[in-house]
Amino acid sequence: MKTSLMGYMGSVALATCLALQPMQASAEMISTQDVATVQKIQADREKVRSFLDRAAVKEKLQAMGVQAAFAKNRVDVLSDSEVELLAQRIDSLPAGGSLSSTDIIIILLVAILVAVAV
Amino acid sequence: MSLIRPLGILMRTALGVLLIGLLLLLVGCATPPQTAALLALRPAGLPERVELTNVPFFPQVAYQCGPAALATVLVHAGVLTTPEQLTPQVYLPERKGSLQAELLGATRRYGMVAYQVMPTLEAVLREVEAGDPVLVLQNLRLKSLPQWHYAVVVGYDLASARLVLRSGDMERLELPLAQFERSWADGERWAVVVLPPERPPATATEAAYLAAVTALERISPTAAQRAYQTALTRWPNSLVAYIGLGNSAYAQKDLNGAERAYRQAIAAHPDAGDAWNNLGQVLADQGRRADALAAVRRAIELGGPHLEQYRRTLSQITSHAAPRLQSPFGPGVP
Repeated sequence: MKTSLMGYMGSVALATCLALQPMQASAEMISTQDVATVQKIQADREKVRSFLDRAAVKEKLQAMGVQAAFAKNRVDVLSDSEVELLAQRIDSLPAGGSLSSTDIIIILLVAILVAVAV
Repeated sequence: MSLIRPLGILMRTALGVLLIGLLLLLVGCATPPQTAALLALRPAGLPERVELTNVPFFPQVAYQCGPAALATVLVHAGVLTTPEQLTPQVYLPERKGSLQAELLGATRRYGMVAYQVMPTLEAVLREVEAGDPVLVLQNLRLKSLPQWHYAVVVGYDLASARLVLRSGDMERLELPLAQFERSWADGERWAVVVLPPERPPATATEAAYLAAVTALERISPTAAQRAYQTALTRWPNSLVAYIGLGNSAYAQKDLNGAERAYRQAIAAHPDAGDAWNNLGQVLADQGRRADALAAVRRAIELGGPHLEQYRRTLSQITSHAAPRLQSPFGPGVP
């Protein structure tokens, strides 16, 4: 009895708060955090695309039997987390880009792209 | 025979100990990569020696390196506080320590920007050179048996390859760069500068600075609003900064300020659906229904990952059949 009364009073108080703040209750704002997240994913995708534009990378892909243009189109289909993973790897490449670490990313890329294609 | 055998075992053992010792010595002496690179090629524009002697010192009490180190950077940034005041906010008695997230959270409660510096020694030195002490996390023991410690980098000397830190009960601890790098690497090279919202860090990148400010926005929209303005002076085209400016104004119920910021966002990025959606919402709050509907419909036309939210905004505006005569925050400006 006591608890239900308390519950009733609680709901009255809550309803009053909502009535006092119609703006807060109806707001469908996109948070700054969400805007930033979308921006980051776009930047990461761009990073992966420009990686595929590098001459050395194109050559390697060709050698593995993957057309660079085909690979570039496929970047759009990659999931956000796949793109993020690739962008992180590209970021961690030492300046000048040692060939062996570039190779690792290409293999990863091809593995993901082929998985998408199948 | 009976004499030679034990002697042989002894010699083998001694040889083994010697080898292990030599190995440890080698591991211990190898210069870690960032120190080696920094000393081999001195980064352009970095003076040989800097020391921020005006950074305060709070000797640590018991295990409380977190409150002491945090007070050091906060007070330097202009906050009036002490380790004693910070202890209940950041110190976990049962863990005998402070978590990184709590140090960042406490910084934001004071309306300061906690910026995570890029995990390079060069970035740390550049921040010190710009006059900002750097809060760092070190492991003082082995990787397998860590003893975590917060300290504050206040100076460096490239000629002698040393850092100067406020650390524990040492007001001026000189540490070889190589030794610091090893102790720093275990904690994923965590380094943070604390700045008032009016001033961006020396090594700030757009994405990382805005990440720091969006984290601040949730706790102090007033401080975040100023930081978004700071971001816009450095990156005048930043969509995230414009939206953040609008959102932090909206959180303070400054509808006109929010509208202005979203319109600036749209002027710089006409295809930003998020800006159109938020503009629509703020116009609806001002009772300008027709303009609000036009803005949200534009957002829906543009689409994107937040399309579902745009649709909800639209249905909420249309479901309020009669426009409110008076918004809760005074009449809207036409």
